[in-house]
Amino acid sequence: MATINATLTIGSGDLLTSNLAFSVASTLSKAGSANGLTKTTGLARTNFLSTDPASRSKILYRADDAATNGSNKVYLKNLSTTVAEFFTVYIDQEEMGRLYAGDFAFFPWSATQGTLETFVVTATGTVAVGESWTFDGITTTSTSTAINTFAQQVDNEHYPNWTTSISTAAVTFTARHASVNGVVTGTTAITGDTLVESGDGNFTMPITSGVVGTRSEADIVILPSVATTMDLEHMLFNE
Amino acid sequence: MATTTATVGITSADLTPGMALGISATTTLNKTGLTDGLEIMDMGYGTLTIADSHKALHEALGTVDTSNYVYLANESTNAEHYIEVVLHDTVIGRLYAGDWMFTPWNQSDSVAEWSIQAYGGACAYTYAIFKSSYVLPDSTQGTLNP
Repeated sequence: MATINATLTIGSGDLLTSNLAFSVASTLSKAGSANGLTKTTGLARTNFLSTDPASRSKILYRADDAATNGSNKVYLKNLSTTVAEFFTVYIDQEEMGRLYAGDFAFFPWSATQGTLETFVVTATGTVAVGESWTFDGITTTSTSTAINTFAQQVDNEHYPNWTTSISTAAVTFTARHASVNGVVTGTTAITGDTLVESGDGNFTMPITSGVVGTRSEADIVILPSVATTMDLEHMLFNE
Repeated sequence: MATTTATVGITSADLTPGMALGISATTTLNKTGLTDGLEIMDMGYGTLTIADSHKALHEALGTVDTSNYVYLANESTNAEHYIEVVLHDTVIGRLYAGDWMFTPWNQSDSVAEWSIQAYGGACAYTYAIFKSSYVLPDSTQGTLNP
């Protein structure tokens, strides 16, 4: 259990006729508990560079990264020194606000997650050495005539967008991020996987079951205001 | 032109082993893209009961896409009492007892209002909203002197 203290001080000598000065302090705790938060992404600095179209906006934190309805907290700071430059902060599709140069934000985050898409592909029939199956850009080429061994090879790969587990010849794929991945609709496979087999038709890799995913509706998205380099400092404290 | 500053400090000696955390950031609350300070502010204190539905903390009655800042704190001391904070129809997060938030608010459209609701038990709250502009809502009395 860590102890994390967060304080805010706001003051002005000329906004009101009376001096404005207030301060608040809190200890970041888990939901409904006095135990402190223990997880963090660490303090980070992210650059938004105009030459990379993908960086025009970024998903800064995925709801998958934190506990839904947890006592998560997000800190953001625009490191720009050009007063007109700002980052627009979105929670999913909701536009929350603009962080102008030097501005910071500190807010709770419910991190409402979607569900992970999952499907089962089952190695079936007789596999020959050299036959292969490609999915998510990863090609697995059989080094054995044992169907379960080929399934094990498929499970041993590292897929960019999926994790796997295995039971005999059935490999379960689970999406890394909650989303509608488009691999399955209900339990009907629509994947664009590629099977290369010897032509005897004995080897197949059918999707035998699946559950469509749903997207998260609380990802934090950041959009810079200008097509020049801008830096954002940020940190997530989460359950 | 007023000068209002906000400073956040986040510290921890044991969150990350071997590397104490010490964030300190200060900003001046300025008008949209300028160095002129904001001059309009609301500040208040209230109590939400769990019988209340979501209550509008502040409607988006100012100019669209301007600099505005929202401060909100849950003054409850019961760890299980929290305030759900909603922007339009999106749940932003939960402020548990003693938690606070400070965030920009650009009033992106007329429905971008902040609303709050208490769960677990009554929650006292304090808030302050610093604004670029503000239009009073229409009176329910209409025109009194036609």
